[in-house]
Amino acid sequence: MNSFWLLVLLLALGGHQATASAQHGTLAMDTGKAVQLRMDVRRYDADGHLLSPLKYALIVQQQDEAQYQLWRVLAPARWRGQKLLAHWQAEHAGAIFWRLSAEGGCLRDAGSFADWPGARQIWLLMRPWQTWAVRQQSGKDDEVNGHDCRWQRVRSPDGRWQVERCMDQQQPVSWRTRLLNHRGNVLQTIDISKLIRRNNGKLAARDFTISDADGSRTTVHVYSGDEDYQPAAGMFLPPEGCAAQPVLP
Amino acid sequence: MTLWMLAWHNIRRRPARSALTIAAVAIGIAAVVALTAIAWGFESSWQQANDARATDLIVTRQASQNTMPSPFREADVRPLLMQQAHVQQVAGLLSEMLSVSEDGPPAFVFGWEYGSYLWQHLELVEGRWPASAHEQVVVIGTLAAQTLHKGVGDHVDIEGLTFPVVGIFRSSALVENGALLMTLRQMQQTMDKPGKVNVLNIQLDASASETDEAQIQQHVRQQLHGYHVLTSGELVSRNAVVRIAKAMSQVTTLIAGLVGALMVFNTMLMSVSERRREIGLLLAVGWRKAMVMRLIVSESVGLALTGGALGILAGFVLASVLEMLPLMRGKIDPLFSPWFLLAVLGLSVVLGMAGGLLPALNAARTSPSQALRGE
Amino acid sequence: MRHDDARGYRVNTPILTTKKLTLSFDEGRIHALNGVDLRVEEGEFVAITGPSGCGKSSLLHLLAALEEPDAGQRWFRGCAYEDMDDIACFRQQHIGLVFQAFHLLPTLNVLDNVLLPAVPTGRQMADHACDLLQRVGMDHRLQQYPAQLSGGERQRVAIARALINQPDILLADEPTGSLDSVSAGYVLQLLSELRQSMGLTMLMVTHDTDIARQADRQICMRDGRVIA
Repeated sequence: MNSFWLLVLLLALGGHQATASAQHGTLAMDTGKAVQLRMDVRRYDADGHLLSPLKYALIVQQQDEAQYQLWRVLAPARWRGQKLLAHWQAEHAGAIFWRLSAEGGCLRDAGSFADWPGARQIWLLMRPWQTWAVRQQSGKDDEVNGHDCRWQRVRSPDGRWQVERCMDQQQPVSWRTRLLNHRGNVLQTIDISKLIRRNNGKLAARDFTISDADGSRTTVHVYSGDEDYQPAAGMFLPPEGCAAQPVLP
Repeated sequence: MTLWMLAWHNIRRRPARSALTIAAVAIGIAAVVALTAIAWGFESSWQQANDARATDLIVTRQASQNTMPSPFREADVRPLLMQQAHVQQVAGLLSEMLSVSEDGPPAFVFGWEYGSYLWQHLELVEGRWPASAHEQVVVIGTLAAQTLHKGVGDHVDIEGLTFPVVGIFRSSALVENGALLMTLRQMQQTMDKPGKVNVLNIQLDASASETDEAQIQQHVRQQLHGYHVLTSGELVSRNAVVRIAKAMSQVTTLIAGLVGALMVFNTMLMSVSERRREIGLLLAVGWRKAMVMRLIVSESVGLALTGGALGILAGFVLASVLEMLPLMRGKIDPLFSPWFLLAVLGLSVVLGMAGGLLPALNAARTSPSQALRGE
Repeated sequence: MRHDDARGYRVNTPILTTKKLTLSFDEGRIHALNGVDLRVEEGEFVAITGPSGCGKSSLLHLLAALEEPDAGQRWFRGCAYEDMDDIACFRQQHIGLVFQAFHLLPTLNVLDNVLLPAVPTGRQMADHACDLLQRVGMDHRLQQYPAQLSGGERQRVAIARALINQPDILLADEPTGSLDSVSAGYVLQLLSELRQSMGLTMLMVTHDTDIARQADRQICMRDGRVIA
């Protein structure tokens, strides 16, 4: 059975799995397998104003140490069909990506992906911190949205990032996850509000909120998914002549 | 002059206090009635949908306790099902809850295998059915037509694709009337789930008995790991929303019961305390302790029963209001059975008895001599 | 010669007898009765007199089985109270009680107040209640509530209530204590007539020596004892 449902929503994955993944040095997804997720994303600025709501379809495939992602905008109409193709070559090496038009051609407008409300926030979420070594197993007990949890801290192998997460003591769920930079400043906070049970019986986030340091926030609702997606041949290949962009910060 | 008349006189003695207690019980009972009726109605509505489709058995993935069963590859399962004795037809179905309008709530969108028996129970009210499995069109239920303000010739956007509405249908199942329907092939394309279904419906031939049905279930379970083979009733009862709704109604019943009993208890305790001298008199003129207890319990049951009756009425109103809300319309169909209402009245009686028992014991322990002296 | 009546009580014996009745309150610190011996014959009208706190009402309560004595014994027609299977039934069938404070239920009208002791019997006694209310001169106010009645009228209703189950003994605790002299005279006359016409035995607690003189016999109490 496919072991992965929501890689991007890895916050819901537990400490046990994180430790095991760290030992094996792989992401928590079986190689060769792919998933498809569809999500409603709503981004609110620091004043609480709703920016244009978006719907994304995201397909993720793991191949050995590389991971391929294909993002497609379903709504609004002005971006409908636009795609973003990303390759994570290895967790240390970061990613490269291509922006594609609805017709499949290259988009050279550098701002097009970052303009999609919420896209950057979700992108940041995709840093594979469930594989990072646990630095501090248990910190103080806390309560997040009515759930008792205990804080633990992990850091990226290069030491640039660290993540604090408040793990449920009964089930492998991080109810609140904070992404910090090397100076210890909180860049993002992710709160999970609703879970879904995967085919393998494990839990994953279905509804969550990402809060940024500037006071803006993004709510994400995963409304559809396919844990056993069959990617078409060449789906993750960039069109010829398209220049790869470096990973977003 | 009877015991009940005397109890009723006593209830009316403190109208404000009695009214507050009755109101508290009524609110609790109303919540119980509304939520339970919705939970049962939800289950019954899904059951009706499956019954209307004349589906005997259903195959889903293990994780189908989620709101929507997980999708799976039809080709992995269908051949095995077709080999089973008495299997007449296997029809794939892919369903999702999707936003189909800018401002409206999400709606059920169904993809049904073109030409399968699933379509036969629907009645076309206007327009036509899809002409082929590949035609990118939808037909919509009568309720969906109302809530979405769409008719034949209009268009709906589903997951970034535009679908003309070519027909309006009516079903005996409320959930289908509130849904949008397209061919399975179109749904798979729209959701980028080629070859996937989340339910396979099995129709057996007329000669199949319940034993045959059980045998098919057993065979398929043995050979298909990770799948459920259920009767339509089993699928509905395992549905996450049905389970949540039922759990909520049970928790509400528990809380309403506790609060109601406590309110009645408090009221009766105060009442007994205030009427100590009268209780002493009743004992002095020859009432047995058991009779005094019956009087107090009759009063508490009277309070709870009145609250229960008003609560049932309020529950009707509450469920009807909820049913009319745009968010709920077409998704719930509260079910009020006479037995359920009788059970609620029974619950009220139990509440009254539970709340009145201790005050009644307290009253029965009254010393008539001390009470009459005013001590 | 003695024989038993249909209910098992002995006839030709005193209707009420007590022997060395003792009662105390407040964990024995206050002695209400100190070994009271009493004998009341059938049909007798006994007045119990004495100063406040001498134990008159306590004696009445013990005779009505509203309370249990610390020591001593009580007999009704030769049957010991403690041998009775159902003391509530005894009270209902044989004892009528009239109180100084009337103790009418304010939520019930006159008729329903009178019927109150008959509720446990389950019998339809409305006609009998109306008859009694006619005899006490209250039949014109059946549907009125206690708050609408004068003190004398309330006591007349209370007397009708005491008689609804056709008791053998009427125990009256200061029945005129809350009434003006005119009402008190009327109530006393009523009690006297009813006693004679119904063949009742009556024990009445009173402060009033004039009233006490109307009795067949007076019992004077002091400090929980019968002194005369």
